[in-house]
Amino acid sequence: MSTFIQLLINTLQIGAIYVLFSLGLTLVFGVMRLINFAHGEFFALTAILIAMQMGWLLPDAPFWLQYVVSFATALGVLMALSVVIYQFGLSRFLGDLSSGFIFSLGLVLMMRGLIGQIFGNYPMTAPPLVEGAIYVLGGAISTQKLLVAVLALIATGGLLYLVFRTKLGMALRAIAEDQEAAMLQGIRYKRLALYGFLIGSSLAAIAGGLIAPLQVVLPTMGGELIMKAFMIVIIGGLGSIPGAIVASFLIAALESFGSYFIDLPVVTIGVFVMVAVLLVIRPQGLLGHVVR
Amino acid sequence: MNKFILGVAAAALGLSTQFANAEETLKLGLSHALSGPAAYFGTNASWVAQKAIDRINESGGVKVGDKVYKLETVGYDNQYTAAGGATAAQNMILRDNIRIIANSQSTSAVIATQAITERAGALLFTGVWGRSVKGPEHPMTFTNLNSPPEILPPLYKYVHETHPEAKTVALLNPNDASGQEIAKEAVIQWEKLGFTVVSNDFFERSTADFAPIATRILANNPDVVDVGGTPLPNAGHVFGEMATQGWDGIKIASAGSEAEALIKTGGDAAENTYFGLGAVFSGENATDTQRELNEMALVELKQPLNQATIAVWDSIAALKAALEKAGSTDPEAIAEVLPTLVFESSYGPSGFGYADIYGLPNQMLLPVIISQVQDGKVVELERIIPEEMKSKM
Amino acid sequence: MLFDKLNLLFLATVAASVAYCLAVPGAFFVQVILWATLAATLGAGIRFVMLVGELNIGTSAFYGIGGYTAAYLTTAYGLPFGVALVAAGIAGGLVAAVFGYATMRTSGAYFMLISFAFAEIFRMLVVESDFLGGNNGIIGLFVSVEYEPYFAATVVAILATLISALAVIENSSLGKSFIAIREREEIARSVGINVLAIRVLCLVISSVVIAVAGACSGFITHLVTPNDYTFMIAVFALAYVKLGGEEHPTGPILGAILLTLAAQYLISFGAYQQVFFGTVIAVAMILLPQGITGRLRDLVRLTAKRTARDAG
Repeated sequence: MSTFIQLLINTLQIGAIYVLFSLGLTLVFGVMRLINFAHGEFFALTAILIAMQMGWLLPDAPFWLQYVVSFATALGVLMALSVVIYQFGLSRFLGDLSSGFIFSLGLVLMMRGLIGQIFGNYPMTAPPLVEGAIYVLGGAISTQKLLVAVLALIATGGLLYLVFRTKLGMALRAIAEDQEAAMLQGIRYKRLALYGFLIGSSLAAIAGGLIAPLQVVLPTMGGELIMKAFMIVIIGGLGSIPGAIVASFLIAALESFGSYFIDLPVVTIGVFVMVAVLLVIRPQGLLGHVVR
Repeated sequence: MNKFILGVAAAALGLSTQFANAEETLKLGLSHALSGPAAYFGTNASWVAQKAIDRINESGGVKVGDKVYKLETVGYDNQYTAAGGATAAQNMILRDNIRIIANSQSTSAVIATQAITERAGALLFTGVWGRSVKGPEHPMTFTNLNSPPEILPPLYKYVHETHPEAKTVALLNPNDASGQEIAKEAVIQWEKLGFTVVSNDFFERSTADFAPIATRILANNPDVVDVGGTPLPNAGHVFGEMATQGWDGIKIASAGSEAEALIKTGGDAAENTYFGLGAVFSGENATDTQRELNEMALVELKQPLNQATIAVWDSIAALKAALEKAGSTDPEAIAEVLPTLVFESSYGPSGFGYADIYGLPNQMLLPVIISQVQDGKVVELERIIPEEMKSKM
Repeated sequence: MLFDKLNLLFLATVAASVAYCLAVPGAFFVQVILWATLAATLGAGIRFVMLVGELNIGTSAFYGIGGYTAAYLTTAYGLPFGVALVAAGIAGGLVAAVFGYATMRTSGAYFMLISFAFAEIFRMLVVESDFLGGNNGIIGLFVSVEYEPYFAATVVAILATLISALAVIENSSLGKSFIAIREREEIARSVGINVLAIRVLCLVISSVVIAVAGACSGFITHLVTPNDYTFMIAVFALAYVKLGGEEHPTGPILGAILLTLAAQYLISFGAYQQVFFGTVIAVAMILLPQGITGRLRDLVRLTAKRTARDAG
């Protein structure tokens, strides 16, 4: 029983970050019809900026304040960078899958190399904000991880509100539903696509900021996560928000339970094979609808 | 277009002959990963190599016969892959006419490099572990870092004697060439001491969250957890997860080298972890050379050196001694002289040996340093100088 | 007219490269020619599948299947280079037929991502396969010592022939039906074209060529490991296509040559190599959306128009 609870807890904490990250990816695909490979670099850059700033920005302040301030500045930097990348690059490739993909890959190589040169390629860490662990029915989770999972779920809730309850969200969903009609709107579409892109990027950035105290922070950390996010958005259906949420927890559960009962490398292969099979029988993903 | 290619070709040829005629400098190749997840090892090792040749050049260079050579390093990014290693090696051997590679990292890259250097009769130094890269099939390859066959027996013996009650061990390693290599050796050595290996797991290098792995390992409630070749920042998270899930046993990081990173990520959970390759160069047991280099690294690289990144210092020290003793820059002549040397490494007097393990005396004889985290600091417990080295001195 | 000149230029480049490889077999620039040839073949191969409108990231897996087939057969059974190449092509084609039959029903972003998954599955399966050497890979792909001086020239000749074969197919009626499927799938279907079969065939042809190139790559590095066949292979292949221009078969070749030469220059920059490469790709995508050949064609048309106007 306690093992089962522990595996459930593991699923929750892994899944919470997957949700945030892959929601951003799927949202960007929904409004721009391109797969942004640099999504992972936004994630890594935020984590690095936070790990860098903590300790020297406000060395005497309590950890939580340092964290909040460095999180805010990192997010600001990321938003500014996203606007530049959109204006000078991605906005030219709206709806052009192959060109957008290659362009974003060029960005990945550029950003990863530059991040390594500017901030160093060595592993960094941000100190945990809270110590200790919490025990539930025989399972354990460190307080820090619980905090991160809760924050991630709150951010997810915020996004859902934005997408399903606000005017902007409605407009974004309309674009995702009918790309061609949206594109005819010209300037208005470009501006909305920018908003969609910024929201998507900030989700990657928030995920990176939340993970900074939990994980080894390296310039390559985004590339590793984006592989999983690809699988998640395929399973959930490209552009589908509920799909991304379901698929994130599905993959997290597979990793958590699978690596306990079977070998972890085998589980990873299993996930990929499952994705391939799913795509053959249901190309639009679990909850997606056919995109042309 | 073809004219352009011929032009570039001519330029490339011209360049290589020009290098061949330069007599006063001797070029040493470096094949390090300068991009990707292992980049910091490569960047730091390249820095150490530069310091090593700077020191030699400042003190008058290398006297070979009646000529004096200044040393120079030429480094390429091997991207930690076989194809990257082959490209780097072809650049060094064919383009730059280099016949001595002073250091190379990544098992795949080194295997690919050997396919080129051994045929070209070029000398190759490396710190990678695999038994397959050493031995009679690769007479021109020399190693400059302790590997599992040297480290594990004394380390495990020490742990066994300190904790005679421990009987079971769980192994965890990254799922790649070096991880598989150390796991193989670890099973043999633990079983020799009468331990039961209750689990032997591998994880993908891309793993970010170690909670599931911790749960899996703890299912067997092992007395000892040996994280083998796991990068130490990750090992800190593994031990942290295990502590959260209520385990408090004997922790060993047998072949990871970035000990201070483990303390950073593991926090209190890193306490009492044993290392076999995790010596730090800030403590009183480090040699003057090591302490001085480490302090410079802290200023210039903003991070400490470790046993893996300092290794290139020792191969360059060995090379200088060998060049002077052989009186020739011919790689074959150097390879002949190397096993007979006693030279001053960063650890003190050193030489080459271990023919009993590998069939050729091409492995550097370095002390095995057992250390441990105590009160958030890495403390050296024992320094075991190989018997073979003692008999050489 | 411009494209005819490009074809001639291609043949002249191949002839010059083969001659150079024969004249100075041990030279460093022979290696550069070999790398450029492999790159050009990858670019041509990935572009071929783009004729039916799909981005095949699985290109890297087929490259790896070729490399591993050759490595396994040469080390386990001692088969010679030539036989290994043929076997690699067959293996690539067979796997592509099965993979294509299952996946060519999907298209667009879905096919791209499924082929991406395939590339990763291939790599991970190899890591887990002990008979393929796991992470260490297989070492020992050497051609015999007497043959070595001719090796590079042979590789260039074989791969250039295969690239040309792809171009010939593109101009045949089969090639026309590829493009028909891409442009107007419904119409193609209505005139009786078996769309799925033609799409699979396109993938199979491309994969045979890619697998042969993969086998050659193994003989060049003498070693195959899983990390040499990551999806980045496909990414670079796409970069060759995009930089050179996808409209004409010589586009990816031009892109491959330029980027390979650039890499020779950039390799001395160490870690900045990656940054420069990324910048080249990103900037080229912005400034040359039709690639170099596309830009050249526009320039030629513009000049022709001007001359015509001035004359008129």
